Amino acid sequence: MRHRPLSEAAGRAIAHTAVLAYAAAVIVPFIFLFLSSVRSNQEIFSQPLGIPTEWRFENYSRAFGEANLGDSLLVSAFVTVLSVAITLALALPAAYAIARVGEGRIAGAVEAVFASGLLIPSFAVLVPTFFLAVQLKMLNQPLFVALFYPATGLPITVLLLVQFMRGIPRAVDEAAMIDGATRATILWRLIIPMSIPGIVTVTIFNVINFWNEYIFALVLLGGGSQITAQVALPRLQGERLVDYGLVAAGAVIVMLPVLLCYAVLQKQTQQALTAGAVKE
Amino acid sequence: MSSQPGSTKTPGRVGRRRNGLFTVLFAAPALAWFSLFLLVPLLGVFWLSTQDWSGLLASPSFNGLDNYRTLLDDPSLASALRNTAVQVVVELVIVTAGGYMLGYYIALRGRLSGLVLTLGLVPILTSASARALMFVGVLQPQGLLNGLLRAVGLDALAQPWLGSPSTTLGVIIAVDIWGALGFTAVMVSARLANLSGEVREAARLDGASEWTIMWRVALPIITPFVGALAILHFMWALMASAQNVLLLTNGGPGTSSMNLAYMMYEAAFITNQLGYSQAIGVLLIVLGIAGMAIIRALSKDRT
Repeated sequence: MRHRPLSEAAGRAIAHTAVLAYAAAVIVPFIFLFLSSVRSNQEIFSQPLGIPTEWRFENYSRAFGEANLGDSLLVSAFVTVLSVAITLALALPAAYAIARVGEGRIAGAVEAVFASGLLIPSFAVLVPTFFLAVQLKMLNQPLFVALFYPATGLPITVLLLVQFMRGIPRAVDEAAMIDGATRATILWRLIIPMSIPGIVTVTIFNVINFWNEYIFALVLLGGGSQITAQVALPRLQGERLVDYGLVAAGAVIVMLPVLLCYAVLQKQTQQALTAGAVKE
Repeated sequence: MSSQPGSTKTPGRVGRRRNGLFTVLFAAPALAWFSLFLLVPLLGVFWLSTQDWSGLLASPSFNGLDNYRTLLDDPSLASALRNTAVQVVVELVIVTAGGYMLGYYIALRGRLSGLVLTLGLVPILTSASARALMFVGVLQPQGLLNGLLRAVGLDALAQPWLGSPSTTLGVIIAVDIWGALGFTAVMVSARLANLSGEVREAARLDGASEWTIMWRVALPIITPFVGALAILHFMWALMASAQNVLLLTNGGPGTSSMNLAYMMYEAAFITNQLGYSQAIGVLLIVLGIAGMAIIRALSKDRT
């Protein structure tokens, strides 16, 4: 133990160095991506470490113009907004019911179903979901994707809202019931307004996941003309890697909404992401 | 969480029936939605695996266990299984152990903790496609990584990362880890923040080094939690990593970066053997359940 000060100092230096290396590994690719988005292809790959000689933003206008990224961003926005709204509309009443009669056998069973849902990776149902879309004649329709996403978001949304609503005193419900309010009125007028922080958390979580989703959007929409931005993005690449400046500009545009959300709502986003799995 | 005083009063029979009805009415839409789009399709995997279905224009027809026989004879199966095993094991070790150490570091609240906490969540905020395209540029023969290697005199290491059979699986694993390490660390740090500082103080006073406290004192307390994080990443690596394969290498060159999940995707949507793809899907589900059981057993609370 006598060596401790020395070896501890060395250990600390190694730890700091490793952590700095990790931080660099995270941030450097983003810097490269951004710098590439304002350079020409030739410049990028002749001097990968170089700083842009002149800042060209035409890659961005080309991403919207030639590559039509604007249309797919609209599809993404449509799908994200609709699926977030459906998720909340389904999850709020369910969470309220589970939170208020949580000791009952039925509510316990319902909660268990959603808890088991946390363990199902949605990738497993990729092909059956494709089959379902074909059967419903809804292949290549963004509406189907907006109907499907809520199912993947429901388990975590319901469970987090249950947790939150259990913290709201039952006296609130009981007083309103004496005044003759129905469960629906209580949920709408009292519980939802009191659950806003919880709703914000699950909404951030769902917006990020639905906006970023790739493989289902590819399979369910890829054959049609209305595709989400995540599906459009890899198509900028073309046959071979001819135009990395354009690809990089597209990637920056598609990442921007989520990264901006993180920059502005950092605390809430951290909470949303960690709450998403903290539940044991 | 907090149960209110007075809330435990037993409802009468009428009240109980009303509560049951209320639960059913309010929860039914969410349950129905969840069942239609997730539980039924999950059963659909097993059903489709017994069907011959060769694409949009055809309709499925029963073919018994043919798909499973085809799977056993598939020359790609061996390398897909091998690659999946390597991928899952390497990723689990690095993401779990590395993520734990990084999370422990954040929880110590040193000078760099805030920076790592902020940066650690950035990878998981990026979509699979944006992330992959970013690395496509980094890993080009004339891209950033080779540029950096040449700049520090390691020219010998520079290579076509996405085009050489000896590096593609490593690239997939590295991009997976890049996406998951910081998230695991942030989760660990959030959990460690709940541990009382007294535990650490006491161990310090007994002369334990930080290293010893990290592995011998703190880890045993949160082993089940770390196990839950490991399960989360295990499922991701087993299944969702197909996206990285699809976007970065298409499983190639040859089958050098083909894993089981990508093999399923390819069978379904590139070679149009949708029924066959679900025999692979069943295998993935079985492996997922088995892996989950193993990780859970290894991370059982021993305190």
